[in-house]
Parts: sequence; structure tokens; C-alpha cells
Amino acid sequence: MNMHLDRKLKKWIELGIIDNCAKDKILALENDTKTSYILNAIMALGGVSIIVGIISLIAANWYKIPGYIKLTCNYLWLLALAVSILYAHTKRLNLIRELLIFLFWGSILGSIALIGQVYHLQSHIFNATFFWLATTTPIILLSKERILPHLWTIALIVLFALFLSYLYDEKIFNDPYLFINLLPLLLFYLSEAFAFYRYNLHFKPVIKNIAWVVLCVTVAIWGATRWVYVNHPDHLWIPICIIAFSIPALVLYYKQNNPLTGSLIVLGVMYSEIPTFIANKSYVLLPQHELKILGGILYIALAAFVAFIGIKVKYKRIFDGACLIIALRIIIIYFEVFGTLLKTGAGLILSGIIVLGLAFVWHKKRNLIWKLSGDQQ
Amino acid sequence: MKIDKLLIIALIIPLIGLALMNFHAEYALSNGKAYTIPIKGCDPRDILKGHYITYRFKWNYDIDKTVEFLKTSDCISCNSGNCLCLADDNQSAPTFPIRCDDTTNVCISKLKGTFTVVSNKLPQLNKFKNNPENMTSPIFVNEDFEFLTGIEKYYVPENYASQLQELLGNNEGAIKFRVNHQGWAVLIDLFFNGKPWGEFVKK
Repeated sequence: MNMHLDRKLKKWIELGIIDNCAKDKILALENDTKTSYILNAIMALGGVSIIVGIISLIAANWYKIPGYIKLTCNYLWLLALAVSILYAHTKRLNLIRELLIFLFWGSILGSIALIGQVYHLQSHIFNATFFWLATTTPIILLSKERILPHLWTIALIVLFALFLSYLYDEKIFNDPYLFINLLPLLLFYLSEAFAFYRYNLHFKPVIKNIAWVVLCVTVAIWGATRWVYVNHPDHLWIPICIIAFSIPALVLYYKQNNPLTGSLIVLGVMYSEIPTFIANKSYVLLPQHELKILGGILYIALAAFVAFIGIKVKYKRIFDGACLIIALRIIIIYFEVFGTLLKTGAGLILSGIIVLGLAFVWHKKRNLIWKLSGDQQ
Repeated sequence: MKIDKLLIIALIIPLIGLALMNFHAEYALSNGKAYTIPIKGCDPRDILKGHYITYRFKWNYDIDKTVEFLKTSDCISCNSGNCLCLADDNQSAPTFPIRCDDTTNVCISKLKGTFTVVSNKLPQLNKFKNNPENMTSPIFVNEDFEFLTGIEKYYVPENYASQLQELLGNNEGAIKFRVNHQGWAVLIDLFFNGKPWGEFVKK
């Protein structure tokens, strides 16, 4: 069952908005109309397999076949797919239509590779990927299910990474990593832009979910690493711009009566960017040893804030996950702080005891926390 | 507008895009001055893309003019701004680097790319530039320079790759390319002893 829907229904019953009868009807309707994840996954697997096969065939050594024959066959294949999509659309064969759009999307990428091979075109892979997404985004926007929005968003992330790689390779900008924190922000704003798009309502939640995953990864791994390995560039305008770019998220979510979400985004971005202000190639305000400890403490504070949000939004998994991260981070601090084997061993025993103690308190008291926050779950 | 029309437009856009890409590639292949330049193998197989062989052009540099460029240029290894002056379509005709915005009219084509000094003679030349009375200028040879055009890879079938790799090692290869109206090289074909590689390997 959809856990999110289940939580909402329970809340609506508590508030007296709906009764149990209405709840059962809603659940029955959802079960009847929802698309099976397994079916979607199998379709995606089949589609990926076919696309990889097509790309392999195109990339294979067709040296005996003249280029114009390869290209003509390719255009005929694309036309056949386009006609099939229109046919499936008119016959309302939604799943087949989605699969065909997926094939068409992948075949366009394969066609770009084929033209590149036939004419020996050589340029940065970013150019080809940009061309592919620029020309195929309209057809993806006309999809109806949630698979293509997922894949399209992942393709956008790949394009962003290739763009950074392009900047680096062309020596236009030597520190592209400073832009990595922009990615989750861009995805959050993109998801909000899709609030106005009504044809496929999956786009907004899909992009937003992926934005959260990307934010978690960039802050938890990338951001944390920047407090440990201190060799940041000395130009401060980029982190200032990135932090400034996160402020509209705070305003946006505040207006949507969701200030905690906006605050978490801004705090996450600030956590990743602050090391550049404290220690860079020009000056060092804190020695590396102390910077590591400060980074660890701020990380735990940020995770505690996430746990607090978990309580506020009454989502127990967020709370539990944040508590687990806090425990893991405490252990990592000991790895960072102590140098010798003897000290590391002593530190690990001490941190293990602290973590066990915290786990015991957490296990015993978390239900109390939930009761205090007004949720019996 | 009905959604059907939107769907048709959305399907046509990528097809038009591909057709334009195709046309542009075809146009570049049939327009512009053509040159055939000998090549030498350079880590002949691309590690990541095994079907590609990689090579370097064996430019016949006009040493005096090249050294003159080195003495006057502020940015020798710049990614942009430097061109190679192709003064004759004869493949053994001397070439030399110039600034792309140089208005000299001795060049038939000005080929865009990246010029670098690959030997360690540049510091010696810089010392000579600063103190010409007490220092001697280093003696440069063709192998001291490298000019990359961006087409230093060629896609070949896997079963011929090792054979072609060996031929490249014997310095028997040449690349035919055109210089398009923007000054970039557009690859036409790989040749061995004056024959396209496809015909050559059949024999």
C-alpha cells in the first residue's frame, strides 16, 4: 500500500474530514487505478535492453555497409516508431505508447551516435547529450506515466555533470566542483516550475524526490568531505552566489507554509559551502584538525534538525534515519580525530559506548517523543 | 491546439534536428579545401573506446617561422586563438603556427587547433629572449612541436584494429581532411600508401 496515502488518510480520519467508509473507497479506487511498479520495472528493463541492443548494433562494425544505407535504415526505423506512437495514442494504448516513446527517445540518442560514426564527428560528449535532450524533451513532456519523468530527470543530471566536465576540459572553469551544490537547488526549482504543468502530474513529485536524494548525497558525502580535505580555491564569489541562490527556496517553501523544508535546503547548502570561507588557498582561519571537528559537530546538528523535521511532519522513517546518521557520524569523528592505532582503538571503544548508550535512550524514549509531538504512530 | 498535433510536433522536432545535423556534416564534408597529411601512431588504441585508433599529424613545420611565432606570441599553448597556416595543398609543404586573427595572406587555409611545444626547449628559448647577447637560441626540429586539430581519432572495425595499428607504427598512414569555413578540420578518410584504409586492408 502507498504509505504516504495511508498516513494522509489516517490524518484525515483523525481530523474528521473523512470517515472509514470514505477511506475504504479511496483505497479501493487507488488499488484499481494505480500502475504496478513491477510492471513498470519490467517494461523499463525490456526497453533499456532494446535500446542498448540498438546502440550496440549501431556501434558495431558495419564497415561493409555504406554510410547512406545505415542512415536511411535508421531514419526509416525512427519514422516507424513515430507512426507507432501516434497509432498507440489514438487507440489509447497508454503503456505501449509509453514504451514506444521510450524506444524513440533512446533511438534518437543512437542516431546521434550513428551520424557521429558515419561522418567521423568528434566533439565533447556534452554537445551530443545536450542536442539529444534539447530535441527530445517535448516528446518526454507528453508522456503520461512516471517512468519517463524519472529517466528524463536522471538524464538531466547526467547532462549537468557533462556540462561541468566540458567546462573543465575546455579550461573555461577549473573548479567545477563548486557548482555541484547548485544541482539540487536547480532540481527543486524545476520541480516547482512543473507545478504549472498539468498534462503529466508525475513530473513535479518525481523531480522533487530526486532533488531530495541529490541534496542528501551532496551534503552527506560531498559536503562532509569538504570539511576534511581543505584545499579550496580562493575565489569566494561562487559559494556566495550558490548560498544566495538557495534563499528563494526558503521564501518559496515559507509561502507554502513549509518553512522547515526551505530551512533544511539552505542549511544543507551552507554546510557544504562554509569550508571555503574558513580555509582556502589564500588564508586559513581554523587549522585542519579543528575544522574536521567543527565539520563533524555541524553535520550532527544538521542531522538532528532532520530528525526534528521528521517529528514535525510525523514521518518516523526520517526521524529514525537521521538518528542512525548521527550515530555513524560520531564514530567517524573518532576516525578523523585520532591518529595513532592506540588512540583510534581507545576512541572507537569510547564512541561505541556512546553510540550504544544513545541507541538505548533512543529506543526507550522515541515513542515518548512521538507521543509528545502528538502522533501515536 | 489538440494534443495530437502537439504529439506530432514533438515527434517531428528530433527528426528535423537529426536531418539538420546530417546536412551540416554532409556540407562540411563536401566544401572547403582538402589536405592529406601523414600521421604517426600515438598510443594507437583508445583505452576507453577500443574501436578508435589515435594518431598525431606529422606536420612539416617551417622551423624559422615557427620559432619566430614562439618568440612573439604571448600565449603559445592557448586552447583558442592559435591556428596553423597551411600555405600549400602539397602535403609536404611547410606549415607554421600563427594567430588566427593574423591578417597575413600567405595561408590558403588557417586551421584552428592547439599548438604546443612538447620538448623542454621552451624555457631555453625564453632565456634567450630575455638575454639574446649572452645566450644561444635552441635548435628546434619538427618533433619539438605538436598541433592538435581535434580529429586525432579514427573509428575502425575491431577485427582490423591491430593490423591498422601496426601500419600506423610503420608510419604508412595519412589522413585526408577538409578545413571548413570556420577553420576547423573535418575528417574525410584514413589512407595507407595513397589508398583508403578499406581498400588497403582488403588487399
